Amino acid sequence: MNGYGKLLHVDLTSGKTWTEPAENYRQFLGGRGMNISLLFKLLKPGVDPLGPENVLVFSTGPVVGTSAPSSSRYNVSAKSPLTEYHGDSNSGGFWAPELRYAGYTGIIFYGRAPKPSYIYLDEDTVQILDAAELWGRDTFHTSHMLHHKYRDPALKVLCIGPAGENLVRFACIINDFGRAAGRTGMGAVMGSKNLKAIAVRGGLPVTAAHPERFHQKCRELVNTIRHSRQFQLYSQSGVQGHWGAEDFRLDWPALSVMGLKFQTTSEFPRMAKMGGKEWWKKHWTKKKACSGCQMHCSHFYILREGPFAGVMGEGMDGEAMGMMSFHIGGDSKDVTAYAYQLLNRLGMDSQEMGANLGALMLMYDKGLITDKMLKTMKGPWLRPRWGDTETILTLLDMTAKREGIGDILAEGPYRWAKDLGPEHLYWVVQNKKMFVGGGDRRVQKGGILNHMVSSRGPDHLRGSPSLEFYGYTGDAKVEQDWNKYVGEPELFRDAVTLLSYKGKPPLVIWQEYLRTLSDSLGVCSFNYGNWPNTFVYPEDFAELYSAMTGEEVTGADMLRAAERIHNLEKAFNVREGWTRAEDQPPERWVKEKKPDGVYKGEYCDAVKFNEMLTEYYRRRGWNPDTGLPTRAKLESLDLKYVADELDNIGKLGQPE
Amino acid sequence: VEYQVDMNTEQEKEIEVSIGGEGGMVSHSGATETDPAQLAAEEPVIAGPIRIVVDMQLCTGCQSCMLACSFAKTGGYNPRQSRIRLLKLEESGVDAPMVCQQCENARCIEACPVQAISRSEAGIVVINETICTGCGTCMTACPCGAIGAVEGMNKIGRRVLKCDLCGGKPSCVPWCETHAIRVVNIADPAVAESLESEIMFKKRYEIENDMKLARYFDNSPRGKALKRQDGGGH
Repeated sequence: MNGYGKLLHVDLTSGKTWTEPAENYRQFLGGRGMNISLLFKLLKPGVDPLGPENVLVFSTGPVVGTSAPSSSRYNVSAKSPLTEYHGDSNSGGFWAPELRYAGYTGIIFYGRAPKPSYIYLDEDTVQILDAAELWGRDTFHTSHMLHHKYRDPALKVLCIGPAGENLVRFACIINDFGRAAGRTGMGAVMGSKNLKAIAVRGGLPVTAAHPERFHQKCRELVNTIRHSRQFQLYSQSGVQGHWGAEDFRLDWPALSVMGLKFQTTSEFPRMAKMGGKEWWKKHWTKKKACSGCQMHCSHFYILREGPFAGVMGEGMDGEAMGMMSFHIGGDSKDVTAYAYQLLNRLGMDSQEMGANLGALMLMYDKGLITDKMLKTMKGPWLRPRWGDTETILTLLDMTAKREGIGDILAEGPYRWAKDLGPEHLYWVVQNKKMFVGGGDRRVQKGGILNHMVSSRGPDHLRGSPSLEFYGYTGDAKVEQDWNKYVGEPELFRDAVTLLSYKGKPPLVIWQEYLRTLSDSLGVCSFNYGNWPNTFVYPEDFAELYSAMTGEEVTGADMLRAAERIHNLEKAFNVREGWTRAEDQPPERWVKEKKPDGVYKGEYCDAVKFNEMLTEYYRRRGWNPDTGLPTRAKLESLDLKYVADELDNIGKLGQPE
Repeated sequence: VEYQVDMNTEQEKEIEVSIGGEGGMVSHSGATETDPAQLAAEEPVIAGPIRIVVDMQLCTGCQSCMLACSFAKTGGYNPRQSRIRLLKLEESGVDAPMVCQQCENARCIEACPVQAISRSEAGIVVINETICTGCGTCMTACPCGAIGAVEGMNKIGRRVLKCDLCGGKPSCVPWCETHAIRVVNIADPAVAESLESEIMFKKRYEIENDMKLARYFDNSPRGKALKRQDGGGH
């Protein structure tokens, strides 16, 4: 079937490989959907995430590697060592298309290699090779060595750095020099399997079932994206565009997520000092993009002066940049730029590491962590004051290598703070053992809801409503879309009101559909899942899918597939022990009011939040009190086997 | 790795235009402006003999041109089967699109041992695929690295691929978001002048990035072949 290649199974323990047609999984589309269907089938509840019984799945989607805008994504999933629930990350670049050109839609790894290994793939061979000389090297060096070994600079390499090898719980997988699959610790899973890298190249074409129709649709989507608000916001100054821009209205909703100094203040002028525009004028060299993407949201920079002169690289992502600077009290963009590259090389997640630093600095500031405690640690004696450059850079290195205090930090802020006591744990803004991400979402009520119900732990990429984040500009098209796809006109005014709790559950669900579809088809949710910044609808996904595979589907079919994927993710998490209690906001968001800024005094009302949560469960077709999926819902999505399995362990939701 | 890159005033101006603007991010103007009229037209309408010119400073390395090219020529998508090629050095931020310039003194024509390459009446250098043996001599002779060969990763050299300007309407150019590849009319005196003064090609390619490219080529098979051809001096 067009659009689907082979699914490669690799048993690392025995070195055996076999394939099956990936179209067997097409009711889950691909990417994120295919991954969860495999995980649910293969994993038993309660397995050790870092043990050989965990599986690691890489999947691309049916339209990856084509002219469809930003069709460059793969999803990597396993049980997460950080949250111990569903672990799932998405990354772009050039690796995913290359995998498709080699004839594969996905790879699934079982077991653990007896010694450090890497995989070489092309359309003719699959080789499991010895990675002794790559082990211990950073991600850039590893990629270079493989380029030299195969004498091909176009070889696409995906690898882990020292952090992944040392099983740092929030290690990333890095491909194409700095494209990261972050957050949920997939790098640690890869490291636990003794798998250092996957090098791919392929010469097979990706051919659509209806080539002209598909190409025409791609062209149409390019124009949609080029004329979108998203393009205006991000193509010129990247994902960090809105940080440090001096001439913004301070009540712009996006700025309300500023959680400076580990969410203890949102005093804006200090951050403005960092200078967005001026810095980029000095160090910017060019725009960069992933395969087939017109957005070019990434930018290349070379530091031309200062103590870090000569540092160069691609970036910077907004959240990652924030976590290495103002969110932990820093105000030097040079340090941020260097730390960003260091994190890429070490293969470590910027947000979880930023939370480590932020929590450490906040507790040091409050006297909960003292010099006496720090002096007992091996290694250099650090004094973690707000934004201290030496502390930031030393700890990045030590954490990746698990040296001294780094060995403790490598477990993630939740685990070490819990060991210190409840007073310490209070300050770590976490949910499901994972830091909530750079933003302070107290103001955005839909944002909080999304973070708490997100299927991979608190994260905005699963469907934080863009409408709320960027504000409603009064565009009549937005209201039309709302009436068409959500169908409750009376809720529209509430949905666009930033501080309202009403109207947010349907908004979050609608956004989740788009994000799920983007991740599953293998296109970038930054371009496709950001309604109303870009007007891409389920019908567009359906047209791409139909033209590619030759199987005619409608927008409604696509929405049903998205719902199926979402329910399966929920069922996986429920099987691992996820309950309503896990969906509660962090203590600090409930107890502390925003201390200053435009939204001073705003906080998350637990009662109103729970009303919103109940409403969300009800609209999802789950039991509104427990949040468990019901048999009726699962069976209507062809997931009878899931309902049976949940029934067996007594975790099926009762109908209302 | 070479870190220091000096910027000339022209580049600085470009940066000013593309990231400066008013309000920083919302407005965008200048070299990268998206002109709705041009988008509507889709394909550039230029009468007369055309060439594709490249500005590697503007190239984002997204491969859209290569994907469009491979689709136009083969019906499938794979950048390795594209007639426009891209040299990517991710770590140092180099993206250099390489496409046939239809040279006046085409070295590939001279180099071909079986005379498979010739110049058409329109002035375009074309490869006769029935004669071509796929030996790859033209690839090493080409000064812009614009000729590629592919048919399966492990059977390199079966077929040689080269841009033929799609008969006057290049399929790749409309897909370039930043106008890093553009179609120009070389009969236009202004264009001819700028090409002659080598601002567009010579300066960008040879002076600024000579060091980076040289290092890359030295280690690449083609670089090694070139070295042998030049008797070691590169």
